[in-house]
Amino acid sequence: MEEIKDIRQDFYVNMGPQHPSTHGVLRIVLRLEGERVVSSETVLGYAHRGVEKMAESKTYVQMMPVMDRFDYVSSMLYEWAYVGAMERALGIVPPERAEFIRVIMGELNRMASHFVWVGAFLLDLGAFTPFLWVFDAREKIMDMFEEVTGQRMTNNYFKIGGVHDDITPEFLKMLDDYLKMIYQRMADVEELIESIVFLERVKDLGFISKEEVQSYGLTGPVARGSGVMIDTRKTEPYSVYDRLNFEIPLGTKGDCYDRYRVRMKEIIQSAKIVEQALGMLPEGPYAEKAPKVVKLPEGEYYFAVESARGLLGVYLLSDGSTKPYRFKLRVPSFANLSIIDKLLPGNKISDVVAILGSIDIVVPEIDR
Amino acid sequence: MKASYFEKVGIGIKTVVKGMAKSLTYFFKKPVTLQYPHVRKKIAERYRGSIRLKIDPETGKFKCIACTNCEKICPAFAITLKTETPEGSKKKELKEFYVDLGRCIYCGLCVDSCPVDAIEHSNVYEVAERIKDNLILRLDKIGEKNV
Ligand code: SF4
Ligand code: SF4
Repeated sequence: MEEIKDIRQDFYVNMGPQHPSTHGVLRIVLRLEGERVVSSETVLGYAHRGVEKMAESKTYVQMMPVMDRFDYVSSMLYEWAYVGAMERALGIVPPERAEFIRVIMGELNRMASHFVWVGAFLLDLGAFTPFLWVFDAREKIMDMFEEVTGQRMTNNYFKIGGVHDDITPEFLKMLDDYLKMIYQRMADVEELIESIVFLERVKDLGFISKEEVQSYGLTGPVARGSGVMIDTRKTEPYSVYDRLNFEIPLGTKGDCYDRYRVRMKEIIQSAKIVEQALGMLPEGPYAEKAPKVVKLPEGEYYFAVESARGLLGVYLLSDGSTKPYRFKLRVPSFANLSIIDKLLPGNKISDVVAILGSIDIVVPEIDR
Repeated sequence: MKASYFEKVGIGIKTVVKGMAKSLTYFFKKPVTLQYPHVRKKIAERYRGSIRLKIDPETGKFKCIACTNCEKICPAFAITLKTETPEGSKKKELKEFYVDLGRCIYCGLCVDSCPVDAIEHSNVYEVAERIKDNLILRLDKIGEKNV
């Protein structure tokens, strides 16, 4: 008896900080018994840059390009949250056209982010072809961004009172072609992915119950995969989302497969929102006049948007100067990651990658 | 009813064949990648490449009035300006204008902040260098490396 116990000794494995499927520098210490995970511990801090402290020594305008650098996959949604908080403080209402351009850009960015997720998730599971297909679809979005904003990822496009530049006829042409192509591409990708090999790996894995969604503060596709209706675009509509007609896809069981389904459906919904917004796009100015030197009146300001990963809130505490007194972000990935130590125990080590992938984290926004 | 092991293998083979057939349709499409150094992508007009100073076509001089707005707003401290005030004049004049492309994050704030539209982004994106110091460009001298 004694000998058998020796063989079954606990074994510690460091997953990360440079494991390819942690999507950045995240470390998870896994305690294994054979091939099963007994317990796990997430270690953060490898990408900590002290940005919240840095914000206190930068002016409001200088912080704009930094906002792109938290979640580099959906950067414009971050700009939106920050600009929204400042607009709320200054009492500026952006013109209609600007709001619709923001919606178009934001939803395209959400699609691009989900594409990256689908590609990386499947790559983790060992499928390579879908990765290339979705990255091609994403690349076309990046080209459109380059056309309008001047950059592919760190766009710095949103400005207080509107957007930096108007959209161009070239962009509208590209977008038209894109919307014609995207539904077929999604159908192709789904057909390719949903083989039994994939389904067997992600179905009935990593259950998250509705109660856990609430107690862990999960948001975004992770919460919606469990059937909890949390979406800032619907529950607290900002911008012009209350005038757009779209559905929020919900899962039923809350396993990895449901989270995957929710994201795939969200891509289609986002494409539909872009189509609608394009049809409703009014003429007019694309930006309101904003003060040259941005000084927020004293007080606290908060603005939340639905980022590609969940509820994203920007909190600003102003003392009336040109720099924020306190700058705080409520990022979705951090809360979503907190459940991982609950999900992993009991699963096989090869499923760790699938569960972690289904949460969809971006490390620079967790460690900021 | 749960499928038996062999049934599952059968389904697996079927879906793999189906996936292969789907991939085959893509096999005959035009490739989306470019053979980069030989074939170049068209860069958008608004693309934010490396910084350069604009020249006034009338006078042939740089438009910059040495207000140092761009130096102050740059979040990455990439711009360094040296100014001087000639004797008998009150106006500052530009003496040296450096931008460190190693620090620049191509954010475009300097371009937005310029009151006389004297600075702009070029479409140049191939700025890699072997020596770090070569990334510091002196922009106010034609002939020196002014991309
Ligand atoms: S683009 Fe941004 S980082 Fe680069 S020099 Fe201008 S302000 Fe500085
Ligand atoms: S902001 Fe324009 S005018 Fe002022 S120093 Fe910079 S380039 Fe010259």
